[in-house]
Amino acid sequence: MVTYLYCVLAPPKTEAFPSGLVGIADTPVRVVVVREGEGLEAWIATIDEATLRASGSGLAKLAIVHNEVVEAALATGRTPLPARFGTRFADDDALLSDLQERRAQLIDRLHRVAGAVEMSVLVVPRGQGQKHSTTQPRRDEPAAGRRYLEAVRERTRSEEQQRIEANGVAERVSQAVSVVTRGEIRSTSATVLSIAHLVRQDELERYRLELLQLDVGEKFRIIVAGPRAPYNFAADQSAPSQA
Amino acid sequence: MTPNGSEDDELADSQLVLGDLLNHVLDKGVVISGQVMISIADIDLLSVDLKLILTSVQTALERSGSRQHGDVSLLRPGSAKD
Repeated sequence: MVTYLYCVLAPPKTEAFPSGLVGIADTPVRVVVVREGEGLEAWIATIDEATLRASGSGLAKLAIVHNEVVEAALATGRTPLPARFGTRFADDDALLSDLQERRAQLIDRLHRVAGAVEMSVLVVPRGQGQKHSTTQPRRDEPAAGRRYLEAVRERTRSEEQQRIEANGVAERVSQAVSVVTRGEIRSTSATVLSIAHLVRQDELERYRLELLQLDVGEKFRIIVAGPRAPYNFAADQSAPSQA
Repeated sequence: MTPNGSEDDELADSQLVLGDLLNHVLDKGVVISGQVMISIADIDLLSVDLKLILTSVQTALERSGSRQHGDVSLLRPGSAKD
């Protein structure tokens, strides 16, 4: 059995903890507190380590439950630092020792996200589901190899052009909401550009309004998701990353 | 944005939003010395076939009741939930 960490909050406010909360593997979620200084509160559970050895859809389900617990923490009126999924310790003492050791860094980061939530803007090409119809040349077709390579080159150019244009849309999104955002982190996948914004909760309506009024052209559309806990703004670059 | 979208569009949007959320839950967040165990940490979930994942996480989503993991209707007039 291990101690699994969902999130860290400050200041401690254990009376706000929702009774009966369960998380991964329907295991009860508990609260532990580091009392020194400003104090820290951690939402944890004791779980069987084997539960975490999931992949594919099983992993996705676990991640959703992890996020549900973090959302419950957000609902207490404080902005939590969500732990990366899968963060576990040998026992409660090991967790408390690490929290104590990094207390100043964590509190600094909690101050940074206090009163804010993370919003996400996805920049999606219109007609994304329609794949390029590059027909495979027949094996006996003259210059089949050349035709194949030309098709690959054309697709690569098209994708690169799409990336450039998506970044242009992202710039417009950034400018539109710059007044109400406290931070921005972009990430890209094969087809979607995702922009995470840290937004004060009392600025959410204005944030949405700015995006509603934004013209992103005909080639792309944007999807806005959130609010959620600030996963993108919780990471501490100085922290060791173990996988 | 998503106004006037068909049901297919809305399903596709929900898939994208869920994929985005999973990416962040699995790959972001604070790391405190402890160990992080994740089987596919290096895989960008947006690049895998989300339909397969979504089919099997449907139960988990239903379990969450009315809570929305990714609210694609946030930008629709009159749909603000705060």
